[in-house]
Amino acid sequence: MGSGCLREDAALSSKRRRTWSRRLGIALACVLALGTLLYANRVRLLTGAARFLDVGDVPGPVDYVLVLGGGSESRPFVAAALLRTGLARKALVPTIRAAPETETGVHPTEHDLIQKVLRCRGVSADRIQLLPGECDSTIDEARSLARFLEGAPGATVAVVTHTYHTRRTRLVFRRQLGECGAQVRFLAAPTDDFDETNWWLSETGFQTYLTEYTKLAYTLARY
Amino acid sequence: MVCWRGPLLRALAAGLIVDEGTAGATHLLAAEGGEGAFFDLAAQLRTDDAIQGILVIASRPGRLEQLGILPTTTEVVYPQLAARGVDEERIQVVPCAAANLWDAARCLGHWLDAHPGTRVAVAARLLRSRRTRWVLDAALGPDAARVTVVSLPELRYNEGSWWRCKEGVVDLYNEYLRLGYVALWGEETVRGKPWDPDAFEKTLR
Repeated sequence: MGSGCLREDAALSSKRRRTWSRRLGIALACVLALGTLLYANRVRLLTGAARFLDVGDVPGPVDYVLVLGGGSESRPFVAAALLRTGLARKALVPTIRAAPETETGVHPTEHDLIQKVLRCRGVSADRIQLLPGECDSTIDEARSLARFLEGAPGATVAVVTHTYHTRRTRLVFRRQLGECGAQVRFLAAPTDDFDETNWWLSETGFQTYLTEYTKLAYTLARY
Repeated sequence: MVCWRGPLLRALAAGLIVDEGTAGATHLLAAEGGEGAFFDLAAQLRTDDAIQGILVIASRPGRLEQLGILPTTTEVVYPQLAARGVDEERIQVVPCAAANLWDAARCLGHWLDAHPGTRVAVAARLLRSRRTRWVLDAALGPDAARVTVVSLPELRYNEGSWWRCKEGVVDLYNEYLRLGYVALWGEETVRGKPWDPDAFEKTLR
């Protein structure tokens, strides 16, 4: 009787081990298959991940074009193009908090830089308006625009930022502007040296897109 | 965990920092252009007889430099160093049009080949210093032994306070991403063309 029970326990234990081994094998095979599938489609997936962040609108006539800080080598050029082609009447430039390089006098402030680019591209000074209130983030810039729109009800605005930044910008601006959010469209400025189809092959592109996804997650969690 | 938070956060920054000093160096170089802390360091070393010269690697002019809106590397470096009492004769411009740190490292490599017996201290921003070291090691090969990396202090944070300001948090995060990229893939393989603002404007007309 006793030895029969022992033999039954050993058989059950062996059966359990075989069951777990089989499950582990199946799990590993699934992971391997999924990994292979992801790797085989990596270009499509990575391009799709970049395109998900780009929700830029088609350019159209607006009263104002707001140039967001953080991309002086591209964003003011897009804004200047809108102004020169008559798609916008006036440029709005947020006052950007001074970076360390500007504190030491090596470089101009970013809002000075944006204004210089606009002037260099043929936009007259009377068509450029500096918004008051120092901005250190996209949320600050949205609040700055919200304050401006209180004095310009019904005005339409195109917000210019980089492709990868448009989704988060739209999220932030619509939250801050409330009903006025319908008056705002978001235009995507191209990036130099990398784009949605090859960002993972560029060190700057890799850092830019991963950082943007982190910031998007943070923004979603914050709101 | 709360008690260990400070040392842990400090260690996180330490992972990005390399500071090998300027001892034994005959020349000083800024890894990426030149900023306030680099010019201050150059001024401090101007009385050091061992430092024979300040090297300047010219960056490839971007759109803003080409339009004359921003000054070029040499247009920044000369006045900044002169204002700090550094003799213009000690400044040497290394012929280069560096688009990134790898290009600058290769230009430095050519300069080292042409100047045997020299040792260069490369000054890099605090949290970029380890990446600078890795890139120099990869790009220079055996000549990397002739180069030391010096970390420059930041204005708004340091190794023990980076988490208290936005710049510190953002810089640390970005630098770990870049360091990871270099560790995994080395030099980037894509060199895209800058977009054309005039062509963009034509699409709007």
